[in-house]
Amino acid sequence: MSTPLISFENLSVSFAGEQGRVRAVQQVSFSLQPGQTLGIVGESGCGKSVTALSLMGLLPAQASRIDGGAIRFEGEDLLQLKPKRMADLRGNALAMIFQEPMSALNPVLTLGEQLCEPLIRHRGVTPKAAWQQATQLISDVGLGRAESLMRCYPHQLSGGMLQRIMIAMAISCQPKLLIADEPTTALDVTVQAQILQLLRERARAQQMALMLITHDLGVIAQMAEQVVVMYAGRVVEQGPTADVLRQPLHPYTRGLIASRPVPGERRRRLWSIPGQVPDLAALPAGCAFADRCDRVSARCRSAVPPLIGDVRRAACFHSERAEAQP
Amino acid sequence: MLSTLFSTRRLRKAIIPTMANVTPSPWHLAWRALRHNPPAMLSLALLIIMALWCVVGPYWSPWQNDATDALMVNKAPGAAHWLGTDFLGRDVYTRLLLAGRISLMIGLMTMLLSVALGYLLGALAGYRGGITDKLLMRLADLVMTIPSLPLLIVAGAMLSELDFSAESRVYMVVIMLSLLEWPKLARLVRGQILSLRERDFMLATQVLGLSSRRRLFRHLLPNTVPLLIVMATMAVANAILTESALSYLGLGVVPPTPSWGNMMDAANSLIDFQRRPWLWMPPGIAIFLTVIAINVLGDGLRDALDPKMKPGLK
Amino acid sequence: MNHDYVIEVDGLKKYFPIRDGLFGQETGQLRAVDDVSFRIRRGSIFGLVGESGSGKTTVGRTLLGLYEQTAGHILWQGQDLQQLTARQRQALRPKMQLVFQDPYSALNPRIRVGDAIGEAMLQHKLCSRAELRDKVLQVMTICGLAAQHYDRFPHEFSGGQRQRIGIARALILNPDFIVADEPISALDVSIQAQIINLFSDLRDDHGVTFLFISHDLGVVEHLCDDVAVMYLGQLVETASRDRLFSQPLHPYTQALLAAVPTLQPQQKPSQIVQGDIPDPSNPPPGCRFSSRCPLATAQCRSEAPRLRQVAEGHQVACHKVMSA
Repeated sequence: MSTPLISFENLSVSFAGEQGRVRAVQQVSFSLQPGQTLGIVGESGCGKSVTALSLMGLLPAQASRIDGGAIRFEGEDLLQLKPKRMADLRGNALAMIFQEPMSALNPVLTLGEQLCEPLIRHRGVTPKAAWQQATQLISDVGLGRAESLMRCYPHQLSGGMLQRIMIAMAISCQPKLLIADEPTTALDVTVQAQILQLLRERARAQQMALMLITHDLGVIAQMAEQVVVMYAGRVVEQGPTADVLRQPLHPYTRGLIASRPVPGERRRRLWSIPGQVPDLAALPAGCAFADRCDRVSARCRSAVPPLIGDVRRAACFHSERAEAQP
Repeated sequence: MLSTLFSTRRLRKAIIPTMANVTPSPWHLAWRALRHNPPAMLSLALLIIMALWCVVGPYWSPWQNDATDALMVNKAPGAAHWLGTDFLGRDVYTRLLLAGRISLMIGLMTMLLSVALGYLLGALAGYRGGITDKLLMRLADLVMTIPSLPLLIVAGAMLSELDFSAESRVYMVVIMLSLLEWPKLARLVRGQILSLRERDFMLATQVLGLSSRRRLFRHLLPNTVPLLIVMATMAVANAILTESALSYLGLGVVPPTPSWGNMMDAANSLIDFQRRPWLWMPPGIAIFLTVIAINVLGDGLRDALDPKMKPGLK
Repeated sequence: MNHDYVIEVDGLKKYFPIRDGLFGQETGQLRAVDDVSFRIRRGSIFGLVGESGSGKTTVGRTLLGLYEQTAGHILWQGQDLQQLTARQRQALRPKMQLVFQDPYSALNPRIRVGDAIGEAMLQHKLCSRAELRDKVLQVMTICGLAAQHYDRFPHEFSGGQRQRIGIARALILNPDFIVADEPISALDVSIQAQIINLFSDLRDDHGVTFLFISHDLGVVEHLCDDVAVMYLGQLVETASRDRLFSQPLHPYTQALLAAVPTLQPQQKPSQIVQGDIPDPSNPPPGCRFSSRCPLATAQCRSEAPRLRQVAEGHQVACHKVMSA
């Protein structure tokens, strides 16, 4: 087993809130191999975005606090790095794209200028060479008329095209890891399919690891080899995507899968997970999913179930029984 | 700690016993947020104290406003006259308080008039749209393009020519300031009404078939009140400053009516400026403190009233 | 006078003026809805599917009178809405309601939930003040809200709960018809299922007719009885749910279905349609999908296809399908 590219070790992050500290991420541990596509799936408030932002060192400095743990990139703990070293990695070996391409790009700079920036900064190329490389990048991400696009401004392009530009910027310096935080949520479904295909192709062509964050299990199923399921700041399940989807160990994962309408099936009612996500500032003792779970017992409410397992992991006191059932 | 001083919970509980259990409305939430803002609460306390002092203070002073005393001219601060006397032997401290009454009152009245005018016209323009909107906004633009201070100076000079009484002069100042202030406020209100109109909950009122009256008074306008409160607060500060400038130039409130502005004109004379700081420093400091306090309070109000209603961490 | 259909839309058009220039003159028209016709059966859920720029939201709002139609007819239980007086129109309002997409802006933040729900009842004199509270509590229960929520303000609720409040507000008037405009896309997945079930129950137990506007084909397939697919302001295909999902005929419908990420393994790259959705103010000549359609011919690019019946209850607007 080669050393993982990225390794989260018991990461805990909290934010200052009005009614006490908000524990956004607690004891999160998982790893990502080089060239692998990993999906992090969860609903709002589960901590998936915060996890990614911690890796990139992009958490708001004032409000956030790393309460513990480490994030290792090729062995180095990113949380201990000096800002300058982190800045060298960001945009270079580690890249990230976000949900809203319209707000992620600077509206007063041309696309060409923005594309050249990382090349000049990290690769030290001359502006002229950078311009040529950037033009080539635009074609690589599937956009035509690259020369004229270089001179366009963000507002002149559609959401799908802008997201392609974002991807071009992110992959320009051949990163080892690309984090995509809900990259297609704001896009139409036909455009979404194109963008996902693009990500898949580029990841394969550049031997790049892809960390895909989404709330859509369908996207995970199509894209990710490994999946991490998060709930209320913790990892509740992890494993190879096909296995997890076929046989989920954690009740939350089961609920997520079951509440999706299945094409071709004519059920009258959808399974739905009762209740709602607990307030992160006032988490209950014990398992955060207890109030919504159909297998809850006294044990669940008194202690937080640990994440146990090897290739497939789940944080549930009742998961062994689940594994025994078909 | 200050916040507990201003807590109204016990008061509310006393008045309406069941009210304490009712969940906080957006107004309560805003008040609560404001209470936890120390600079804003300090400013509020300061302003209340100043206002009370100016109103009640002169009654406790042994000196009358116009009590001139030829023997006590230009005396430095001492036991009898806390802030000294001016060139007519009048007690500066008492005059300061009386001037405070005038300046604060002008500030408040200007605020009331300009906000009333600005809100009404802005709301009309925003709600009606069309020709009404275009006409009103062109009018507002016109008034705004006129440089206010030169205009006020000219108006002030004309007033002196027309020989108004001291009291009606004060009212004239209020009217002049209001007529120049309303356009800014009108634009703000209009902008807000335009954006509120397109919000989903307003469209919902249309679909629900609610009457125009209900939509306007129960749904639309209450949502403009936060803006109104902040605008009003800032308008007071603005009015006080402008009035002081005018009175300093001798074109606003003129002696013998005291105002902080015209008390400061002592700074014009070199001797008074150098040798008798008690004549011009106190009114200057008073204006300074008042305006700063209002601005800090206004900022605090704006933060507190900001609709941060979305729950959850994103 | 066919009362089997609650709503009949015939040749509906809604154009918005595009204003430009120094004096804001009208330089063009945005054809948001361009000749759309369909019928909604009583007691069914009719799905209207499309991506951005399709005009589906505009259709929903025009049906409810939020927009004045540019042309075409909307028949409510056989009656042309345009021919009604303002008073008659007002009387109809309780019968047709709307549920919004964004639960965070659909409720007035300064009005208590109970008051917000019950307001329209008093306005239309559908019940007395004395009965109001009970009626509100009743509908709140149907929508899965607790009695103590009555006096609370919207900001205390989650997205899913706010959406329920919005539904309760529409439901209390006992409408015959509800337009639900993307009612679940802003909600978490685990909450979406709850709301979908609620709609299902309302149709089955209370006989409410819905126009369900969405871009989520998985949900539409589960919930809707009939489906219409829109692209850039026009209908490209309409059919019953079963037919549309088992035999999609229009290339765009096929592309949409292929693009939806399912839990089943890998979509074939060749089925993914290329290109972006054109600017709605400047659509391609001829068939509006011709700029992206893998089957497009010269005819497609010059001549706009009409919606034609190909089978019982199944209509398609495509030259290739008609000639096949």
